[in-house]
Amino acid sequence: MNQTIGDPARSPDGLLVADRADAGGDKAPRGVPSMIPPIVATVVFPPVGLVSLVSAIGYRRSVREGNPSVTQAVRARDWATYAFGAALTTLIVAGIAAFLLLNDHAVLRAYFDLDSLKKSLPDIAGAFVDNLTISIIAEVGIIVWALILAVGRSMPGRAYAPIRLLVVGYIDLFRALPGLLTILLIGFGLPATGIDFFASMSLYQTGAIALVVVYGAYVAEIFRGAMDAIPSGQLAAARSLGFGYFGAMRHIILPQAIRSTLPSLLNWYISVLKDTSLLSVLGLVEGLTTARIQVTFISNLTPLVGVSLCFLVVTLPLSRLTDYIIVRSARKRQGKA
Amino acid sequence: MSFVKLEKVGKTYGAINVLKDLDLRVDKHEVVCLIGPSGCGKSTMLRCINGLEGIQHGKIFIGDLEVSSPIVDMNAVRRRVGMVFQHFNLFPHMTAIENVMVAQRRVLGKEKQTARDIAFRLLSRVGLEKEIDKYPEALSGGQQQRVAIARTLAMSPQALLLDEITSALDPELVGEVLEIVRELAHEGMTMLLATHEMSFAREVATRVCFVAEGRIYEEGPAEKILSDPDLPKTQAFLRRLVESHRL
Ligand SMILES: Nc1ncnc2c1ncn2[C@@H]1O[C@H](COP(=O)(O)OP(=O)(O)OP(=O)(O)O)[C@@H](O)[C@H]1O
Ligand SMILES: [Mg+2]
Repeated sequence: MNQTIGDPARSPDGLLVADRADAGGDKAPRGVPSMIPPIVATVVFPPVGLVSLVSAIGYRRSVREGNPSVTQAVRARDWATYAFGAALTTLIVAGIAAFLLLNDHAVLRAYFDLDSLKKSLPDIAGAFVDNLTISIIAEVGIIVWALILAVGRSMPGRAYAPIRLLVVGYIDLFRALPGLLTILLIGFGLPATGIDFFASMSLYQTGAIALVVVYGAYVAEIFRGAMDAIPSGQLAAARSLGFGYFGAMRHIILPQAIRSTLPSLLNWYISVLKDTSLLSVLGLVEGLTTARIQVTFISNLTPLVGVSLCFLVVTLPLSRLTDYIIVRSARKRQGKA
Repeated sequence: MSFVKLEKVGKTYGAINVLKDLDLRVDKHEVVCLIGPSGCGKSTMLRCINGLEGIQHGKIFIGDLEVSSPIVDMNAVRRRVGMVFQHFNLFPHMTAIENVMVAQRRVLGKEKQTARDIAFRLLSRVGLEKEIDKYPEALSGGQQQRVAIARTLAMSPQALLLDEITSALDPELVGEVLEIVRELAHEGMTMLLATHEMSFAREVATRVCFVAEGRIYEEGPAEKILSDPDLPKTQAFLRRLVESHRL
């Protein structure tokens, strides 16, 4: 294991010349590593620090004895880096902990009061179901609407120029406006039309419509990009089999486009879910609003932490899922290519 | 009676005049091979016949229907004339059998089981009964092209347009695809095919058309055109083929 380098491999200044060939290029250490990171790490986070200290000392001794080992050198350096990272993490966690404990645990109590959490969480979670429901309904609407927009935008030929222009105008407009503004315009605008159909809509409905209007514009661009990336031979093949333009879109082109945009769609869903809290400006008492109301009642920020937990429970796994899908499809492509 | 007929067809891409007053007839049960240098317009001609490209002048008839007329339902026409492409263009998100089923189901409105039976029969016929559940990327080029042929045959076309269907294949895979075309020819399928495989043209073609100057420059039986053409451009083309050992 402890592969030692004999004299022939050593350069006159005592540095390892066999490093590159032996331990794989840049990773191999040159010269004697500094003792400072292991010592600092030992102070900050002993479990890792001590190991790195021991391996650093071991390596130094082997150098002093004129018998430096590459394995030891690599291990010493890896442990030093590892110890540095562990020390940094420890410091940050300790810093946060100190902040929480500051002023007789005042910060801790302000954010993490278990009693307040127990009392407020059921209401918050109940209201957060609204966020989930609206976001899921909106997401379905967004995908359908975005597909329509994307197809409208990619219609071929001069005759469709007005339609393309209309779609481009829509997409540009709603991507240019702050989402909150659109939500206000639609949320208050639709009921104010006085038209029965709109006036009788619930907050859920107008809110979902507002989200569809805004996010449809973004997601349409994603679909368009995916459709552009599909080779033209696909459409030609579909048409030559007798598919009409829309049939070819529906059965051949769009299924491929949706597949390739799945990770982006998941990411956008996370945004939609987060932005359901914007609907509070319309008077919707969703999760975040409920938490804010509770904060004013109990003069404690714990309900905000509670609603944070609600969001995280949904969004964090989705983020991981997105990464997993990306990695998997990349691996699939590489494997087959 | 001619099944495919082109009359004085003109096709331009911007300033490029690809087809100029082109006349062509393909009778029922004929196998017509289009040959000619790269860029002479063979693919363009096939795409125009199938309505994938519009034409600027002239008329195209399929059967007794003028398909270049603006009032014709091209989708219906395409069901009668199948096309197979150089790069297969299989649908990558579907298995082999789904590729063969999708148009039967969505265009012809057949029942799933009926479509599946037909697809299985056709895939077996092209020797792929073991590969029906594989996705295109898991198939070799020759297998993909055979799926593509089965996919086209599933629409029961009355004629086939084949655009250099073996030129994207490794040499050892060309034979398995040509074998299928050969069989179709013997069954009397009307075919118009662009090809660089002169020996194959000699074997199956009832007529060979040399395309140059945007029209059928010279045509006749394979024996004549490929051995002893009358016109200078055809002779020059053949000479080049002989020099590059492709004839
Ligand atoms: N979509 C297009 N836009 C502009 N020019 C085109 C287009 N398609 C083809 N052309 C031009 O039309 C001419 C004929 O092309 P075509 O593909 O029909 O030739 P081909 O005989 O099939 O050649 P090959 O043997 O290389 O397949 C070429 O000069 C080509 O550059
Ligand atoms: Mg071509």
